[in-house]
Amino acid sequence: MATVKVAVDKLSIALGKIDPILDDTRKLTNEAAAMRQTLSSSMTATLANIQAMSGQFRQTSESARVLVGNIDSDRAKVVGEVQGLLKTLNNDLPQALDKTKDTLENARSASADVKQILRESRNDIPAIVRSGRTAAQDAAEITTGLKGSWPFSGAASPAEPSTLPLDSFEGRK
Amino acid sequence: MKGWMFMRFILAFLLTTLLAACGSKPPANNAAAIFAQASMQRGATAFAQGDLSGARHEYTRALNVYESLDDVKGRAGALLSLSRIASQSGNNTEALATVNKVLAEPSALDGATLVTAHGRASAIYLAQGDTARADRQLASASAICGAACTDAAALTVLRARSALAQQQPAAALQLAGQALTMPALAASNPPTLKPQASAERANALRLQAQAQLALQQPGAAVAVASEALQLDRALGLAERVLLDLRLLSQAHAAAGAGDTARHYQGLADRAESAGKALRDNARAN
Repeated sequence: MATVKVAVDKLSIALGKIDPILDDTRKLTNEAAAMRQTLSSSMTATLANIQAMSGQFRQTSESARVLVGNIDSDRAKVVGEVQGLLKTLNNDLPQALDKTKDTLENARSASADVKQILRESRNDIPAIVRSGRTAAQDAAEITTGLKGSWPFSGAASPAEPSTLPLDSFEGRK
Repeated sequence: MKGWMFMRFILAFLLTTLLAACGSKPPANNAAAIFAQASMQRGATAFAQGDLSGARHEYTRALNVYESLDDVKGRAGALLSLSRIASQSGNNTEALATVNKVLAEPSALDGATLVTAHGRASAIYLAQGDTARADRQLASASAICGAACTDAAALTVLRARSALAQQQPAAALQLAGQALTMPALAASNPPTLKPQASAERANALRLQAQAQLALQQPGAAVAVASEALQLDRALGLAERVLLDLRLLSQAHAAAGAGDTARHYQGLADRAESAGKALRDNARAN
């Protein structure tokens, strides 16, 4: 049970990170690229946790409800901790995916389509998840951004070029 | 039920992302382009850390690669970044010359790049006191931007800045207020969640306070400048913190609170000295 809670915790942190990232794809690629430089953790444990979680959905619903409340009340802290998860989600993932692909695909079938889930739960989810709904509905765009920068693909290609953005303050002295 | 739905959602979302990324081919980039992109990334990181020399080095290297590949879009991005670095370094002449290289080849660039280029040129002209040219650049940027674009809020604040420079505080106040109602500038907590948007929000607030002060509304200016100060402090933007402190001193003085005005002036003096010491140390090292 504790293992599942850890997994839920980590995934929830990821969700908290995705929401602000969505506002600016360039930011997403910047951060992912920056994180690439400091990656060291393994994905194996997280994938094992996902596997465990997929088999224990119902038993942990109560824990998840508490977790949702925690996220709502302390989101800044949650987001501040996201880098740890992102590190975990990086270096070893390409290798780990071979081992866990079957598990992931089974889980995907079981969890059905994201949009369908969101339609069903439109009036039954807390604010943090409603924010996440936007993220899910834009999953294709997120994935596109991730593919360009995140080392999920195992490729060494960096993110999109980072042009310094316009700031109305610039030029002032 | 909520918890179960939540868990289904996050699992499905993560799996969708993982599987889509896993099943896709990596972007087809050549080694030179990858090298240039990595330099751009390092340049952005260095700039965010206040390392202007390092940022210039990285963007210059990227520029050289893009020019060797005749990559117009990449070249424009590197030049725009170098322009920003030059203006941040206080060299607006170089900044303007650099951004003009981008604007010299507009046909090969996308709208977003052109908007940023015109906006950047406008900011530099404003810094040089040339509001006529600044307004022309803003008009060009707005024409491309249309109703909304990534830089729409910054362009609106620049228009406010131009209005204030032309002694039109009422217009500046209206434009700054308009910028603050844009969703892109909505307050985020903590501000570091959306640093660029938060910095632009602080810019709009500072402009608003300056306009209010010019309109003899010191009480309102104090409130708004305080909010800008909070944001700039949180974002670690020392130059802007200094301006906010000075503005607060002026606003309190205008409101008749002499002691408080002197307090903020003292804070501003201290911040300015500390900033100078930091720059001197950086040069010495």
